[in-house]
Amino acid sequence: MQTVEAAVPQAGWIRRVLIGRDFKLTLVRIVIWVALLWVLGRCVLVPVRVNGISMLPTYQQEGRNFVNRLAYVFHEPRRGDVVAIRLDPHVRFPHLLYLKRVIGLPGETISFQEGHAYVDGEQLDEPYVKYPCHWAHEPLKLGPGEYYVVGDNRSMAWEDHEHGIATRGQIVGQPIW
Amino acid sequence: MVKRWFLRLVLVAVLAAGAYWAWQFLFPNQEQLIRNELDSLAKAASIAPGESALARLAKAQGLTTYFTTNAQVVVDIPGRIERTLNGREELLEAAGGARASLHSLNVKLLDVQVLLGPDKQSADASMTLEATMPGESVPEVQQVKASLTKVGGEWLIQHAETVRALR
Repeated sequence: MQTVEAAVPQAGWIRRVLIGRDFKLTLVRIVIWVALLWVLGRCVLVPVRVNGISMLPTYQQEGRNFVNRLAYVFHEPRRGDVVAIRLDPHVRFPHLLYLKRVIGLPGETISFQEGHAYVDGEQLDEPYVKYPCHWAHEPLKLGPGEYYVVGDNRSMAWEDHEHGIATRGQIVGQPIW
Repeated sequence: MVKRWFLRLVLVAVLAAGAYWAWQFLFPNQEQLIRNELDSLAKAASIAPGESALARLAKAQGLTTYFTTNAQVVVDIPGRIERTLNGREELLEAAGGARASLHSLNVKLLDVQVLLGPDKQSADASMTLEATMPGESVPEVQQVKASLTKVGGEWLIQHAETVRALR
């Protein structure tokens, strides 16, 4: 009898923790939470896994992060920002995103000389570029709504490193760390 | 009373979802047919590890059936590969050569966008091709555009070309 009396409150406690006082209400709560997390994970903070070496050493291969899709609601991308870019501007919720750094803003002219990036003829200070670079490329003028994006790992060959002009519509947001 | 109402609601939701799924399955729209075709193409382009030479040849031949007889495929990845393939013969040759040199390959076509022509007999599609090769932790990613045409009730690729995501 004592054993039974002791077991009932424990079972009740576990039941209350797992399914709450009212099962139906708990079910509704779960549905609401799942829906909220789904919307959050799709429209606000998109979970991403870094795959590639073009952003080394800032972002390591296989690193986990979240892309804040609301980062550019109140202001436009700035120079030095790391941004997530969709490959096709028409895809609202893409499976794959590029992670790149903005070095050129609309209307500016970008060039590379002896491994250094130049904006309108002025050498850009890039403390995040840690590896040696030997890139050289003729000036490229950006149009309205166009940003020049490139990875931090410039030790890669120019052809192997995905970089270039991204339109404003391609920029999805910013990684949170 | 509440319990009965709740159960009825769940039942109606399940029935509605089932009816929608059945309708889509039995009467797929043209856009869905194209998506299915591209999914199937990605599977045909993939190579399973340990696949025999004969199976590879058969799959390479099968791969060409997703294209029209006069299809054109333009691969232009600056600094890496620039090649235009015309017709199924050239496609078969290229696919056979590529498959012979690879141990395995996993191809996925992601973020497929389909724009159906006004005649419903042609369509444009854009997609992201992701190819993972053995021993490579980073997949090859390439944006692709394709024009499809309906031939004998089947959607076939008339023209496909690589597109640079960043210009």
